[in-house]
Amino acid sequence: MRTLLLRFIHYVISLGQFLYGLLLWLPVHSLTWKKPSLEADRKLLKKVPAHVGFLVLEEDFSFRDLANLIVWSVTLGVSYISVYDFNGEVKRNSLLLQQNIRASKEQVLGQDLSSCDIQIFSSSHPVLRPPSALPKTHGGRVHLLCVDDGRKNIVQTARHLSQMVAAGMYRLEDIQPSIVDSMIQESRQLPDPDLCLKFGALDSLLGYLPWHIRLSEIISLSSHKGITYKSFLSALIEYGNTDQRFGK
Amino acid sequence: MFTQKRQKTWAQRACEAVLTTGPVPQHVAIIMDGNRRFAAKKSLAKSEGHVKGFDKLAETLEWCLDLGISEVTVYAFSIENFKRSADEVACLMELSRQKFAKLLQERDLIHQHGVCVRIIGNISLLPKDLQELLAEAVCMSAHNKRAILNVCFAYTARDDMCMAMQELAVGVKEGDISESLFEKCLYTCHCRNVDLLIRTSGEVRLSDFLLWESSFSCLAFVKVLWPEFSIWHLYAAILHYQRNCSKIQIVRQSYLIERERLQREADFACVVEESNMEKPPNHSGADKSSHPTSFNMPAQKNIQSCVQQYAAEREQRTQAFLACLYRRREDYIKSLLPAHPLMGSKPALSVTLS
Repeated sequence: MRTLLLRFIHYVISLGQFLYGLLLWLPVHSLTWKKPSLEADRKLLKKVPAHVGFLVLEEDFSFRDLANLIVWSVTLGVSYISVYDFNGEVKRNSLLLQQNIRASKEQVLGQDLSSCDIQIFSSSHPVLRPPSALPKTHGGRVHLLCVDDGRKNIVQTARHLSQMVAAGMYRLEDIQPSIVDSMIQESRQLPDPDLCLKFGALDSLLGYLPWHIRLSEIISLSSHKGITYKSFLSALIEYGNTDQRFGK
Repeated sequence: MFTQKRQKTWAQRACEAVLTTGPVPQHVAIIMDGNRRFAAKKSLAKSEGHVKGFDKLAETLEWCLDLGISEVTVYAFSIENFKRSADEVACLMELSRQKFAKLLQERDLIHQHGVCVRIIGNISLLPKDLQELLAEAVCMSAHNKRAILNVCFAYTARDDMCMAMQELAVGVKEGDISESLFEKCLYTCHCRNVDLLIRTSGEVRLSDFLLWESSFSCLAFVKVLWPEFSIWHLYAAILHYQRNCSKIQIVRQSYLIERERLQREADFACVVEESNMEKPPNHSGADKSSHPTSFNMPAQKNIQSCVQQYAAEREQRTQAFLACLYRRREDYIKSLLPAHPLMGSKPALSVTLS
């Protein structure tokens, strides 16, 4: 009887939290979509992240909204974008994403399409050419990632280093964070994410780039579906206001 | 570190009773951030803030024990923290000396609570006398079972991963390096999965703490500064965990199943490669692993037993490697023990000075 009562209270509290979350979530969606006014918005940001990671921890995907997020990021000056979902759903649908990006670009930028060059990479289509200097005024590289790009990447590096040590090309003492880091950077051509936007109710990274996530700011948003420019911008502003001390 | 039991209010007892009807995290990791900001806010000296932080840790451990959380990992000192002013580093070291000396004095209390203390990190970077104290604390409490306190000292996750890579590079052949072997080489190899990671002070990053281990942990970023962390914040974090844990568990399970499958596949590829090296292949051998069906082997059954045998041998090799690694680490800690233990008696452990 007692346990039953306690369980009931536990349930009520959980329900209360859920409803509270719902309340917070509702007003976001009633906001109307606003066309980004680039120059003004850029001034709102104290710093622009070089690499933004989008973690989709939801069951359903909206490629339209993901495309919007990517285009907004690039127009605000973000050069690297990674889109992560555990199962690689986005990776498998890279073409669909590409189409949506094109449509979204038209809507956001109007006629000025040529100034915004967005390339998509994923580990099934590895980076072949060396990273050309980011072209034109705004350019962005989008990396599509899934769980296989996380821990496994570190283990592969361990294997690679093991070979190098056996071949006498590396000394054992050389295996230090800075050297391993440059090796991992080289293999992926992807800097550490500065900002990690997490979509969905789940509060976990679910295997997203464990090596790279060291200093990333992790900001949660309730969903990527129907996300407005305004809430995206306010997350970037929140990022701009943080102050990192790097251990000091 | 452990004080006498504090009395709880009826409200706390009620909350605890409610919370423990749900799943309670087994292993909680904490980034105790905000000591200095707390000191600045209350216009205290920085060192005073750190002292307050330490007191809070003692309190928090007690709350965790009461809730049935059996393992707690705290980020006490990062390798990056050596970059702070010499004064502050010295002060933090001195504080740690005092606290660990106190812990050794209170060994009865430690045994009574059944707490096992482990140090996670590269302690060779620390002052010698502190190393001795840490080693004493670890050896003194090694046999306690009820609860575990992991103290990350001179730790960063990237450094930990690099150390593991070093061990693997000399210890096993390249083909045996797998994800599960990799994590068994980390300093945290004896820890349970991190269920819940709490960071205080409103910062929302991991700062090189348990990067690998927290892949499937529930994250809770709490707004208060660490010395202001209260039992209510802990309750809220656990409630947060309870709303997340079942989904995270499902993803984690599927990940582990996939990992096992990949291991079997890798074993298969190795067997194919080995037998191809024995007999000259009658097809182009460049792409063996991706065309297992075209592989020229007597019978399917035969392959299966070969793979099983290979897996068993691999397991044996890696177990031997790990046993050696763990023994070496244990010996290292024992080698740090001072010739004449500072506090009380501990004759059972023979001192092996290197």
